Amino acid sequence: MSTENFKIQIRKGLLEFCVLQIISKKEVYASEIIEELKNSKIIVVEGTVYPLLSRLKKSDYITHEWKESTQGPPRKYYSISAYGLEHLKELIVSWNDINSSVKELIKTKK
Amino acid sequence: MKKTLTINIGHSIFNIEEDAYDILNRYLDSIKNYFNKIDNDLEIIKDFELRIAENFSSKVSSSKQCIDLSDVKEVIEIMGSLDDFKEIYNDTDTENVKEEKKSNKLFRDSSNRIIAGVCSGIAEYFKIDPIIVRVLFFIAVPLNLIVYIIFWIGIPSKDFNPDLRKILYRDKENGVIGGVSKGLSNYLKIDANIIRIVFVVSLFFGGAGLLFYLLLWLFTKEAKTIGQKMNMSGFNVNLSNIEDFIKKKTKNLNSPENTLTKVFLFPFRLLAPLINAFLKIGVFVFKTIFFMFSSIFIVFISVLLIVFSTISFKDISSEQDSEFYELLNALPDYFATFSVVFLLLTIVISVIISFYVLFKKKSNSYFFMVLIFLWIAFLILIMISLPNIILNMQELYLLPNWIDGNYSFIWKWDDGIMLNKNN
Repeated sequence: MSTENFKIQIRKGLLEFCVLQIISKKEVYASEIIEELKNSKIIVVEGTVYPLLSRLKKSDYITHEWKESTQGPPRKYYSISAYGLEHLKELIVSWNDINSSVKELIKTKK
Repeated sequence: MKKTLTINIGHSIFNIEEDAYDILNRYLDSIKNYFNKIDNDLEIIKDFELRIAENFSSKVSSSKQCIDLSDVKEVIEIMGSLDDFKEIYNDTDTENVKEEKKSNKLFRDSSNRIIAGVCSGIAEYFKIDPIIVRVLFFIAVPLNLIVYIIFWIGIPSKDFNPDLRKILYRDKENGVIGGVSKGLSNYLKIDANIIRIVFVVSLFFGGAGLLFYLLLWLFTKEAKTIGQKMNMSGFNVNLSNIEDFIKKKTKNLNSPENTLTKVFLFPFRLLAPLINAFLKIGVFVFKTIFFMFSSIFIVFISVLLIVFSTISFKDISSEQDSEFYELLNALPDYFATFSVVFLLLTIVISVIISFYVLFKKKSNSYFFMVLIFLWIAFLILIMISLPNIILNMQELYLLPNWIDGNYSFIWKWDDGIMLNKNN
C-alpha cells in the first residue's frame, strides 16, 4: 500500500465524520464546508462533497434551508438534526477509541 | 475574435466562449451520468452547478467579462474529475458499472442520429463507426428502407454517452485536400501518409479509392470544436485529457515534416485548391442530381395521384359506357380512398427524406414515425383488400376482357380517363 493510497483511504473514511463535525458547530452552506475541508486538507477536489451531503440528508442526519444572501443567488444552509447529533456523538466516541489505540501502538513501537 | 454563448448556471448568467462551453457541457454531462448512477438525486447536480457558478463569478470582472477555456479548465480542476469521485465512492458504483458493460443490447442511438439513429445504434452494438454502417445502408437501396423501418419500430432508443466513443471526422485543419486521409489516420491510428499513398495508388487501379474518398467526404462532418477534435482521436473528455491533447497538438505543429513527405505531398498541395473547387462543384452537382431525381419521383407520383383521382371520382353514368361503369363499381370506394391516402403519404415521406439527406438535418422523429406507421398501415390495407377486388372482377368477367385486350384506357382532356372498347 503506497502512502498516497493510505491517505486516500483515511480521508475517505473520515470525510463523513468531518462534514458532520463542521455542520454541528453552526449553520453552514456548501461553500463554507468546502473551504474548511480544503484548509484542513481533507479533500482535494470540491465535487466529492456533494454526493456525501445528499447521502447525509437521506439518512436524516442533516437538514437544509434556503436563505437569501447579500451577494448572488440564495444559498442552501445545512444544519445538523437531533438524530445526526446523536450519530456524531457515537462517531466521536469511536474516533477517540481508535485514535488512542493507534497512538498507543505508535508509542510501543518506539 | 471568438463567438460566445450565454448560459444560465446555478441561477447566474455568464458569457462563455464556444470552445469552453463545449468542454463544460461534456464535463457536466459526464458528472450527471455518474451521479445518477450512484445516487439518483437531481439536487446534487443543482448544488454542483451552484458551486461552479460561484467559481465562475470569481473569474469574471469588469475587465474580463467572458469565461474562457482556461477558466473552465481551472474550475474542472477545482471541482474534480470522474476519477477523483471514483476514488471516494468506488465501493458503491463498481457493481452498477459492471452491469452496464454486460448489457450489450441493440439500441437506437438518439445521441448521434440523422433519421432515427438505427445505423448509429448498430455501429454502437458492433463497436464500429456509424459512417461504415451508413455507407453500407446507402449502398443497399432499396432493401435498406424496409430493414431500417423494421429496426426503427422494433428497437427502443437510448442516449449513449458520446464522450466515450471514437468518431470519424474530417480533419481539415491538418489535411491536404478535404482532411479525409488525416481523419482516417486519427481514427485508425495509422500514419496519414500511408493512407494518402493507398488512396493515390488506388487511383491507378480503376479509381475505387476516389469513390471511397468521395463517399467518406459526403458522409463525415468536419471536426470543428475541441470536443469533436478529441472524439476524433478517441480521447475521453476530462481534465487531464484536455491538457494532454492541447500539449500534443502544439508539439505536432512544431515537428517539421521530413523531406520525403514534403516531396510526396508537394503536387497535392499544389493541386489542393483546384481539387477543392472541383469537389465543391461535384458535391453541388451530386446534390442537384439527387434533388432532380427525387423531384421527378415526386412529380411522377403526383401525376399518378391526379390520374387516379379522375378515375375514382369521375361521375360516369351507365348509359355512356356500361362496361366501364361496371368496372368502376367493382372498385369499391374504400379502396380508392386507401390508394389516394397512400400515395399522398408516399409523397410527403419522400419529400421529407430527401430534405434530410440533402441537408443532414435531424428529423422530428415522432412526426416522421407516425407518417411511416400510417404509410405501412395503408399499404397493408391495400394488400388485404386487393385479392377480394380481383376475385370480384373475375366474377364479373371484367378482368378477362381487360387482359384479352378488348379494352384500353384513353385520356381525354374533357372527360379524364375513359375506357375504350377496341373493335
